[in-house]
Amino acid sequence: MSTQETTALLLDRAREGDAGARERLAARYLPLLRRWAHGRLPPPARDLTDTDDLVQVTLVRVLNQIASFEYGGTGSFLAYLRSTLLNLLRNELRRVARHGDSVDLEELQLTDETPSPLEQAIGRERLERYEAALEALPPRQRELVIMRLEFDMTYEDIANEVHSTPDAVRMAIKRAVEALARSLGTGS
Amino acid sequence: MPDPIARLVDDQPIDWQAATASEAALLDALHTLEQVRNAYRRIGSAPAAPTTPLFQWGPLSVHAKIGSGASAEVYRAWDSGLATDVALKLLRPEAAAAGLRSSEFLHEGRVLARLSQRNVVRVYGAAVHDGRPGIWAEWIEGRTLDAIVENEGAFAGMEAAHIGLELCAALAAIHGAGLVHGDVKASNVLRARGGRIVLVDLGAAGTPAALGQALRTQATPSYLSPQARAGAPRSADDDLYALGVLLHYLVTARHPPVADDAPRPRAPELPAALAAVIERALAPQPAQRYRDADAFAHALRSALAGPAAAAPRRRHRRWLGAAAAVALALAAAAWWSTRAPTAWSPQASLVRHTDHDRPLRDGERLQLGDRIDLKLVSDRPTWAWVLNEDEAGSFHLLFPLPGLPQSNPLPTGALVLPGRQQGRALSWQVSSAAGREEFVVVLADRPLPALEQRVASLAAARIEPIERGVDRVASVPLAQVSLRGRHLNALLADSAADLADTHHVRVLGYRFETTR
Repeated sequence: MSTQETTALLLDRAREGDAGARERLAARYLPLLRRWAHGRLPPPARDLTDTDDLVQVTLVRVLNQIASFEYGGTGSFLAYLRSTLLNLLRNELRRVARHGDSVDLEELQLTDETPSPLEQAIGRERLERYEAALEALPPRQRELVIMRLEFDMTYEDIANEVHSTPDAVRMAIKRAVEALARSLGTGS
Repeated sequence: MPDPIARLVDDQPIDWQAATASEAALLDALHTLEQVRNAYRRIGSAPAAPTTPLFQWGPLSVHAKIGSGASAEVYRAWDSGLATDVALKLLRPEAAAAGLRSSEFLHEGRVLARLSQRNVVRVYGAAVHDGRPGIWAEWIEGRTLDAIVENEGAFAGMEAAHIGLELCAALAAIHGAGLVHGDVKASNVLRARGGRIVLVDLGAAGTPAALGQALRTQATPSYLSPQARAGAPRSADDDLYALGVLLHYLVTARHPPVADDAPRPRAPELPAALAAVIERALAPQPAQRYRDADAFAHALRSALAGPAAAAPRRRHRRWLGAAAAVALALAAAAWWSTRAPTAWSPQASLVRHTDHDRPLRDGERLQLGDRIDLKLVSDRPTWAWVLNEDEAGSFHLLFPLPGLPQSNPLPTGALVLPGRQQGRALSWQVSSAAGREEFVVVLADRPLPALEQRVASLAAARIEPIERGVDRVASVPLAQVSLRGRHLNALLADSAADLADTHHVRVLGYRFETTR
């Protein structure tokens, strides 16, 4: 990510009709979101093109409505994209579950509850608890956790997103992760 | 204890061994967060280096058989959806036919897949493909507790108690899901890299009713409770009894004698409080034992909190982390190859093309024009890389090369590299006397993505196999050779995480001083 143009700056320019700024926003977020989305769709729905299409559609939709998006500062554009995309993916899942690809009988019983790779890796119940604990965090902390743990961003990139320093970001993330872990731990 | 939250946030591996038993719920939550981060990082990332699988089982590419039992076979496989190695347990067709029905196997697999606790191997799923029911689970790099005891002797009491606490947490989760493990024993517990204690082989687990049928003839006799030996249906209580046997084994390196009276573990410096905990776990009558895993854990915690808790813990022979210095990692590889007789032990040696029976030794002279080969014998499919750098810093990949008849993975058995092509035996030939020559041979029983990637970036440096010159061959493990080659050292450092995998990787280094 560029350290020259913050997301806030690009959003301001895009809102004013700067097509180049919109393109740079798309270029910044598309790879992050694509990779993120791969873990969220179960294999029958996870055709590579489909996932990439969904991500692109989300981004275009959000950028088209950019005038109505209030930038809340701390990384909330990414959080907003993530939640929009998560909703779209859930709709897509329901669609796939309704129509379903045909599979042989023995495997059919698996498909209606086929987990996404993320559910498989972590466990459905545990992932739900993680999501709930994440939702319960204050927005700023939630966004920091998402940027660090889910989008694998460096402290420098996060600092650039939230107008802070890498050291301050690191301390804030540590506090956020501790709060998240304690919430997750007490919910078990 | 080092701050595990800071380590997670800073993307450092958490030292679970140091973190053990402090705040179980918090550690479990951190394990979840670590799983979340690792899953996001892996999924959607570049796939592993393409290799030819033994066979395909549904979404999994099956690469190597790693074990075989009466009713099932265990394989190492690649799950492209999860972008990770997995352990796949396939039910033998004859076992399915003999009454262990596929539907039960699958049902239990799915119940297990809902379990998520850091001390229980993560089961990813259960399915039938090509008529074969299978369960696939997290692949864990580590050593079994029985291998540790065999190689390093009994555990100190306090360390065993800490392991016991972790296993109580595992059993509490399994029993809480209405399941019984059914085969708790030292060879089914791994200490993973980083110290995480993991109960594995859940393929044996199931509901008590199913286990009574399926496992009566399968469990390990020394771990059976008196009731189970007498043929009583399995229960969670039998897992706790087996944990008592396991702890007895950890602190004494012996299984308790099978007798009516509870055996009291005798070991030098074993705190009396811990001996009493184990003794109660092994009481002949179920009513005298712990009622559940939590009660067992409570007793262990009390023993740890007693005066003996101040006793020193055994000095851990820790796994080396990915960031460990290359030299240390390679030293560990050499240590492993000499200390673990049951580990993978491929035989590799450089030989003269004209005399395959005698390995080249340190100090031997090679003449200009001499041709050398690498002889390899391995009981597993093997990935091999041969690299070379001369005094001038000219760096070459000698194997694998696109034009060669053999490629990774090499088949099981005996073979010679670089091999034959169109009836002609290839070899590496001494064609220069450029001063120092260093060779590194890396052998692995699995793909090494980091090394593969680095090697791929060397494409420009690839050479024909007949060109390289060597003179004097020092056939000693790399741990004892200080390599000077800048490129070789950089490559080894970049691949340190791969090469530190002492279960699956062997690295040999050779230094040659070439003279005319």
